[in-house]
Amino acid sequence: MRLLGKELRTLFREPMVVLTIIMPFIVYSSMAPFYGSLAEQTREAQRLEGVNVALSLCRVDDATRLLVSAMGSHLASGGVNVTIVDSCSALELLRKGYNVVLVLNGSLMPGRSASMAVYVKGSLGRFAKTLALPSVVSGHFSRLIAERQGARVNTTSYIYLNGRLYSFPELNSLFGSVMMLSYSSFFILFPAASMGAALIGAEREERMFEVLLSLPIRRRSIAFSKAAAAVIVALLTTASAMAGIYVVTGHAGIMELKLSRYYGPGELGLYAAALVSEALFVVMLAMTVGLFATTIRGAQSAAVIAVLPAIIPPMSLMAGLPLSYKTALLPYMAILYTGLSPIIGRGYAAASTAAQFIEALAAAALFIKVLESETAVTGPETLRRLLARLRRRR
Amino acid sequence: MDVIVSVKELVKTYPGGTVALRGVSLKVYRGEVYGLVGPNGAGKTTAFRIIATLLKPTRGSVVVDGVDVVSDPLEARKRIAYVPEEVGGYRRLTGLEYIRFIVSSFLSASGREELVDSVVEEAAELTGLSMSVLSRKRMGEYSKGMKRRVQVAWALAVKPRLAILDEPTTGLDVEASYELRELIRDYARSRGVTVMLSSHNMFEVETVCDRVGLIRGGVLMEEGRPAEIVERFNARSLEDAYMRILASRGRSSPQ
Repeated sequence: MRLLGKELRTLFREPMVVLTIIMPFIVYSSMAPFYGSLAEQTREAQRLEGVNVALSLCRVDDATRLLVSAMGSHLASGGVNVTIVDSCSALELLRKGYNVVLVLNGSLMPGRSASMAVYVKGSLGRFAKTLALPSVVSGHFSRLIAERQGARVNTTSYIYLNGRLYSFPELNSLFGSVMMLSYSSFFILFPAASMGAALIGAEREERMFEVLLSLPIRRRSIAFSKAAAAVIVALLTTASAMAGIYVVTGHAGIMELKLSRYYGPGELGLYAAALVSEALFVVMLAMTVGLFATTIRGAQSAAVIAVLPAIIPPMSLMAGLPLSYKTALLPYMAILYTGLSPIIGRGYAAASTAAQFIEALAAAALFIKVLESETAVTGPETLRRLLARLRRRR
Repeated sequence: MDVIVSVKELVKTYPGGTVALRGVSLKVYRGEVYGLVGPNGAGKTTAFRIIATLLKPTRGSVVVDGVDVVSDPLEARKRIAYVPEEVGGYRRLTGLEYIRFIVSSFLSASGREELVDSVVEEAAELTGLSMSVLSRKRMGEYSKGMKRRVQVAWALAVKPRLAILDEPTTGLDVEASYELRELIRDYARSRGVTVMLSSHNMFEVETVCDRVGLIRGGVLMEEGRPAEIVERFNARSLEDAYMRILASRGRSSPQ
């Protein structure tokens, strides 16, 4: 028991161990609002809440017209906003303000067949709902048709997003690629934070920081050499993770990833720049935090906490992204906006990446400033003194 | 004699109010080995850190080889080789890789890049370690004594205007301390390298240093050649003189 007590004391006094215990709770509970929004949007889609459905019956026989009108009335009595229209142009109807346009072709009479095309006006801000709506709408009508007539109906779904019409499988596949690219934000985050912090923590742990700082090397050379080394390792780690996922998803057929179909050299160049800028930003933050730690593990623990907000963008993609330049200019957004560039264009991605480079350079300037000050030498002592003062005040 | 280090009225107060130095003034001449002696917390390391441009003084000035260390720290660093008290070394680098990194960083900044190979060779020789140990063993595997020799060796071999060695023999065994003292004394004297070192060990200072400064509570109490100080206080040794100084000025620290 005594030995167990000693081992537990040793473990619980190690910041990394405490962090390992509380980190999953912090990460998963911070995901709650996003998952909540995701579930809410899916429920909204299932209830067809706030959805204006246009039933386009321009190429159907009179009997089918009557039948579909009755179905429309049935849905309307259930609280769904349904309008029967004669226009055949789904896009025109979507532009007029309908969220869903259902275009029916053929006859629903017994023994006949018909095709149903569901057009959904998508929104990146309500992306979960956008992806759920086609199957909900086609499911509703197919069920009604099957119950009443038993006619065979072929359904296809389209999503109109940002001025472009996508077939549902195409958007789904594109979304898979966007998700995969945006997850690279995760993959680069922790290696970058960990490497950046370790490079500074190691200087202290190996008792070399004072020697390094006393050498006739410019502080910015120290900063950028360390940052470059950490960024290279973080990029290699990310490439390895991405390649692994690509192999797994491709091999298992979980997701059809067709990066080359959606991303041209321009988009991929922006993506690479976004990765580098995020890594640089994270490394600089981690190195600044690392200046206040005495050990590698202490520096890494603090750095991981400092870069935690980076989990928000991939999460917000699932819940719905408020598409604006204001959002694009926030840190950690560049990879996400670059991933979305086939949908939203390169403007946002370029702005976001440029902003992230500026943020990385600002973080570098902060690090160099601290490195030039006494805090570079007295960082851990300064932190200890500050914490002691806070404790006394409490 | 040329003055290499000129410290005037140096005051250092740390955030939080701890006063580490209270108006220290001293001069170190070219080719001299100067020892700063005093107990823990006397202000030796703070003084060295300020001279090595790592800390900024609250008041006062430090000029090394004509360069103000506060206003032009980068230029000052080209003239100073600093070995801190804590024995360190990059764990994953071999001794030779480490020496090459430090030597080339130091020499290329002062435009002496062409000397890197010869200085690395000289530093390697000064360590007293075999080439196979230096080139194969990583510094993580070195003993404290080996690491310290590597540190002192590069600091002397680059022939800086000033080598600062903060407690170079602390924590070393008798043999390692002896060898290091010999190295500092012989090399500095034969090559004319100016050295400032600190120590708790009066015997060490007496045998290695040309002049010493006795510091306590951030105040430089006495300065001079060891023999002069011993004579001035009619003492048997430097240690005896130090104790007499303490007795004459009251044992309590000014802090």
